[in-house]
Amino acid sequence: MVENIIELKNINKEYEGHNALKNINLYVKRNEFITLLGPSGCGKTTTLRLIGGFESPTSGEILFEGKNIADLPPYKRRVNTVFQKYALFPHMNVYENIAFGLRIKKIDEDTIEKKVKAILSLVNLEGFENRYIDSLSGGQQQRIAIARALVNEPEVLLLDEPLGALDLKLRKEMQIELKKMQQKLGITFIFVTHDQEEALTMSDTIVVMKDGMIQQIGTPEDIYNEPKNAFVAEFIGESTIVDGIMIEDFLVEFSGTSFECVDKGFNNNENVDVVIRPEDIKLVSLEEGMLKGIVESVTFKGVHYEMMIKSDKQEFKVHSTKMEPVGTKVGLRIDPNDIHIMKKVR
Amino acid sequence: MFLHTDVSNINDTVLTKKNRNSLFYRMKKNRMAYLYILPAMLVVFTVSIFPIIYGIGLSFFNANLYTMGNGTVKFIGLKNYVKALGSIDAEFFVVLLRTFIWTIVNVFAHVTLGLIIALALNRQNLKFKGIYRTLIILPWAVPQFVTALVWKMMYHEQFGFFNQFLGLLGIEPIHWLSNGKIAFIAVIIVNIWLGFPFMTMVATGALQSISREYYEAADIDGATAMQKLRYITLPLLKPAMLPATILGTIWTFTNFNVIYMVTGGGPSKATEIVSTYQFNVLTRQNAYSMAATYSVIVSIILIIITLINMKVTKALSDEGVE
Repeated sequence: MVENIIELKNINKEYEGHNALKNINLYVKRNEFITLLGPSGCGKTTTLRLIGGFESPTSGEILFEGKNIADLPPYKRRVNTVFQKYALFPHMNVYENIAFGLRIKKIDEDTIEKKVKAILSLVNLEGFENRYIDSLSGGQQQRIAIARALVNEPEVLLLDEPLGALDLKLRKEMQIELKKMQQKLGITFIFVTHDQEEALTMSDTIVVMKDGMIQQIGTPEDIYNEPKNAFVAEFIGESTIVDGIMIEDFLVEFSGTSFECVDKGFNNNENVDVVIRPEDIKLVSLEEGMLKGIVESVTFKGVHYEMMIKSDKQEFKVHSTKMEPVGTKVGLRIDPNDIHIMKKVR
Repeated sequence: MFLHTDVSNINDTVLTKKNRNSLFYRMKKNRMAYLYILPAMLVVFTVSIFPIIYGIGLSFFNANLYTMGNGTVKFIGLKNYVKALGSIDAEFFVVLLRTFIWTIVNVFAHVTLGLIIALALNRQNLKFKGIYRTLIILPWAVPQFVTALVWKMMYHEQFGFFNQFLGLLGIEPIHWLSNGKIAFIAVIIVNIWLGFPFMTMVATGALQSISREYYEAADIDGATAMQKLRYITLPLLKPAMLPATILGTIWTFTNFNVIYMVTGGGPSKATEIVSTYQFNVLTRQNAYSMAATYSVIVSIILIIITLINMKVTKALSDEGVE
């Protein structure tokens, strides 16, 4: 059995002279929950539509279990899609919506009934067969959309920002439920979102995209802790990015101070971006501080306080459970592990 | 004692609630608002409500040029209705039957043609879509009587376009407007030409509001173009097309311009429909009450047709799409 269920090789997609995707190479493992993450217009939905068969690549190959499917119509791929706005037929009831695909495939009524009942039970909506779509809540509609896709027993389920229309509480519940569902079914989910928290919560692998290119592929931990460039660092979680100079391996200078770090392989005195997460900056006494600064603003965020601290013309965002009033002089300490050095791209 | 007080209180509450709901109370309370809408209400009453009431009233009198001239107009009850509907071979029944045929053929053609053209113009890769759509609206945008007169000229037996063209092919000229049956078909063609753009516009608007995702969802299931049309497009067009069809039925049933301009109801009343027939009763026979009676009958027929249509198709209801 091929380990990679889907492979995108050197995929390019052009729309009227505009490059929506540039040389995309992506491998999706069997039974994995993979998320395409990026801002609007980064090419994540286009990638999904290519896999779904709604678009053809301008060049490159899409392999499904090693076979090129780039020219196959959607119904000949063992892939199904949950659309952003669900695309449930408003003139059909829940049963008819789920049974639609099976009817087109001319499956007998008894089998259809069994399958529809089973799938409704999977999405916890037994007894909803006769309800019309507009009588369902957003969350219920979403489950029906998933049920309609899953009833065709796809090997890969594509989900195009399916949680976008739900309120925050429901979205969080559905994140957990979707992940459970994927584990229970043991199929591959390819999920598209622009919400980094959603990606971190649900994914086995995250693919961060920008301007039609893949920026980084990795586990949520990798992406968060070791962002490959300033864009990834900025897009995933909050961070302060400052200009620095890599004096030599394991030593970087920024804000007029030299810091030990864990990065190497840069040229001596190379200009770099230094990325520091707000929760990695510790507030200490002035004497203990590697940097000194003044608290410029304080915002209460529930679990922690967010403070902007100015030090040598540079502002650092700091998250701490301990609050220092505005105007207080404080010391800042950053451990070598928490300093992330990136090549300058800007 | 307590009980008595309680009951009287409840009665007071009920009365107050009832009073509050009364039109007089609400008018008094919102006096300024009613004052603001008064001018508009007066206009509506004068140009719309009063003529309806006057027309219905007139149908119960014997008003015509003669009786109005010598002041002998009097209430005659349902005599006009008996005269109009009393005899099954009465002229009015023939006209009514012809009006039904006229309406059914026209509305069917309008909706079918409108849908086909809208679907053809809705293809994603079609170039110059905007130009085609503008051209399609043209018959609708030109005043009806202008179009009707142009068609009348084209139907001219000697110099009209159709017979000239047939002559070029060596075919005998057709008596477009002098043969009763052919004249009826000729006016129907004119009205189809005039009416389909409206349905095309309604269908185009409705088609554009159908999300592409529905079709993509059907693509995943391997639905053919015909299956997509049957299971997605047509059901989703229903909420827009049904009210348009009801409107089209009313417009066509009461159409006057086309027949009056092209054939004038002739030859030998062979193309007369209710509205032209009424007009002739009014202008040639000066039988005002009789004309009013026909109007009331037509209105009742249209109300019944509309109610049946709405009941059967659930158009205009919240469940219209189901």
